[in-house]
Amino acid sequence: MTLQIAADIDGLATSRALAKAGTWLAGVFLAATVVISGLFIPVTGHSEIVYGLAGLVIVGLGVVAALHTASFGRALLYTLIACAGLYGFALVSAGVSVQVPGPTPASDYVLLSMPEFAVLVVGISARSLGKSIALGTLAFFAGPGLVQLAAWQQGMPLAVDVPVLCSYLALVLFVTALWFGRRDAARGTALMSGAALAEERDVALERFSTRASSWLHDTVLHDLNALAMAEPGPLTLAHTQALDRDLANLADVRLILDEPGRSGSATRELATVPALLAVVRAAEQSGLRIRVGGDVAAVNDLAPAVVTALERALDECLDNVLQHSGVREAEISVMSSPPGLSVMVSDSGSGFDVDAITDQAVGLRVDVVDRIVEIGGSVQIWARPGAGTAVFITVPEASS
Amino acid sequence: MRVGRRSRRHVRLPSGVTALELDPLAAISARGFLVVVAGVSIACAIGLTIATASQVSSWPLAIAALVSLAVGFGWFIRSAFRFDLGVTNDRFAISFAVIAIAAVLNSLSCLGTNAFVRDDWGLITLGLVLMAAAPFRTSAELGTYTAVSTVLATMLALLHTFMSATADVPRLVVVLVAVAPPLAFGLGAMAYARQLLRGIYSERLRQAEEREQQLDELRRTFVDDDVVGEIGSLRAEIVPFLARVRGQGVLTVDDRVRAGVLAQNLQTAISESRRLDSLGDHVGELIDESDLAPRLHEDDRATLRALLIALNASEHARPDDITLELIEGESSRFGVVRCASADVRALRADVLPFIRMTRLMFRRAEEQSAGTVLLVQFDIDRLG
Repeated sequence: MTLQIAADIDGLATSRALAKAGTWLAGVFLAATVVISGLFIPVTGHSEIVYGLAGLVIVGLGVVAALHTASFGRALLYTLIACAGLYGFALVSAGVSVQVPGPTPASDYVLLSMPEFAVLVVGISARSLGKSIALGTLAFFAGPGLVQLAAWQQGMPLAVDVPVLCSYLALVLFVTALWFGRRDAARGTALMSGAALAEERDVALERFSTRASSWLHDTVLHDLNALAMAEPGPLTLAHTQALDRDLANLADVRLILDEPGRSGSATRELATVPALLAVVRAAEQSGLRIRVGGDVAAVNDLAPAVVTALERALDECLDNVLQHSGVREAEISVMSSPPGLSVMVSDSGSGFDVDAITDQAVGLRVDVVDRIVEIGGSVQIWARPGAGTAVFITVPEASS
Repeated sequence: MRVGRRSRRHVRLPSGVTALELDPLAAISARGFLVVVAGVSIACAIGLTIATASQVSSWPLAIAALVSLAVGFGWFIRSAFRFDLGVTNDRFAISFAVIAIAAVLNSLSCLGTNAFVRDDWGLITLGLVLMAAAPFRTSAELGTYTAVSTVLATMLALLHTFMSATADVPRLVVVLVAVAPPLAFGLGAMAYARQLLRGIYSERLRQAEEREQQLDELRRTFVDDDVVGEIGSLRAEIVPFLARVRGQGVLTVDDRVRAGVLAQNLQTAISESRRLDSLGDHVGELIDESDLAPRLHEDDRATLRALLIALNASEHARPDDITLELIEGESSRFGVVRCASADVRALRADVLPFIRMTRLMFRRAEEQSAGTVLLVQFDIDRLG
């Protein structure tokens, strides 16, 4: 679409992002539990804790699989597997806890709570609110529920794990808020997409129509007028050639619609390169018309620091065009030439004497050259009074 | 520009860009999520403070912690609902700092009497605020905040191991229990932000290719529908005339006259070719004395069109009450969208994402409510 609005209309990107987030969240809680449990092996002398750790590994695998599967049925199965692993861990952990001398912890013991948190996230990436809550609820009853069973089996004092209960309720609220918000956003996005597509269609048809009208004006209309003013008699060679050209083009109007260099605005061509898009949009808003060409996508491969320096340098170059060149058009060409990337900003304006100490020369030297040299690049400036200006910037590519 | 296969296989995410910058409308869901997270955090803090009242050694600090938490989330929510730049890194840094202060105050409020570090709500809310910030900020920035949270949690946990009655629990265990929530939520937030950006950016690349295909299809439709041939009497009269004259190789007096008539007809038809002015379809009144609408930049026109469609779609607006005025002065160009409504606040809430989009596309755009009218004014800096 014209506006370059990328949106997660069907929620797929959000779902995958939530799966990643859930994986890390569960991973940290499980890792912390593994480390703490591992510490207790030498302290308590109970080597069977290792079996409990195996249970935690099953929990982790089950949770990650449930988060990433697209099938609701499989997600249910993986959730149950994760809960089974949690039950195994709880059996061992509670068994050791009641045998260790000293006060016996209750079933809301933090070592049992942390893997319970991990299990609760299984539903967050499901593709519908109902499935999400169903998975979370299954995890809540089968996870902490089985932990309570294991604690009871091992003779551990039972206690309601309030933080886990609150976490379940909070997760339900979070997921619900996210889903309702996403639904509203999707509605708005559909509206914006429709508007942008309609605009795109109108603009394209307008261009084709304008192009066709312009061609007719310059050729057929011109030739008809020429015939109207010509002397009667045999057609001249020029008339014959003109008529042949008109008839040929009218037989295949695709030739008329092809207009080099006018396939879209600079903004639209830069859809895939946010860094350059911002520069070009700012320049366009200042009144410049920018043509962009070359291997533009290669800019995305640059390191962040290089991109920032390049953006600022280009800003300065375009500002110079606006302030000093006397023209309102500039061109940006991107050329990938490993190990560097070259970007040339040129205009056909008034130019200047590179060696002279003018504001323009000093500005380019300080704001462009120094900035680019700092990141390991180089700048060449070609300019002559009355013959335009070209600034050739070379920056290192990420791998170099 | 077509996206090369190399670029599709190795999508390098643009640096310093947030998911919301690529998909501003996702702010709707991000704001809703933030409000719920804030509510849950504050409820959790109040609940835990009451439930663990026996561990509180300083009630002034405990209350100050709660107030600080509310202020931190309040600032965050205010930033998220602001019309201008939204949640910038600076604004989020303020929220995070205030919530971090709340965490410290919460911890200090039970210094010496803290039985279980896991009951400290400050450590959980530090993680929750990072989760809520995931759509608003970049993965790298969230990484920094996660590191700060982890260090803070470690320091507070160590402080308690020295000052409170947790001496029988190994120090490393106490630290791990304290660090786990902020670290888990922080890493989760980083992964969420990065993966969401990747998904949306990939969608953007896909759309760019689709746009090129749509342009080709439109071009083909234009040709197939013989729109060129339909201009004036081209196909019906001019082409046969040109073909006949070319075939006979001689121009007669009648042909000269006929050529003159056809030229005049064609001239009229070309002049009457419809110019782009579809913005008027979405408003009750379009005031455009300088004929600016067809000359607007296509992105700006699409933005305005979306805003007007959103206004039309709102139950709080009447289509006849929507006015678009485009004005070109000697040194400036600007436009105003006016929409009368019995409930301007509700109307504004309905179209706020689109007003934000206007702010993104135009260098200067402002909105205000004047009585029963919602006004959106914007500068026009570029023409198509």
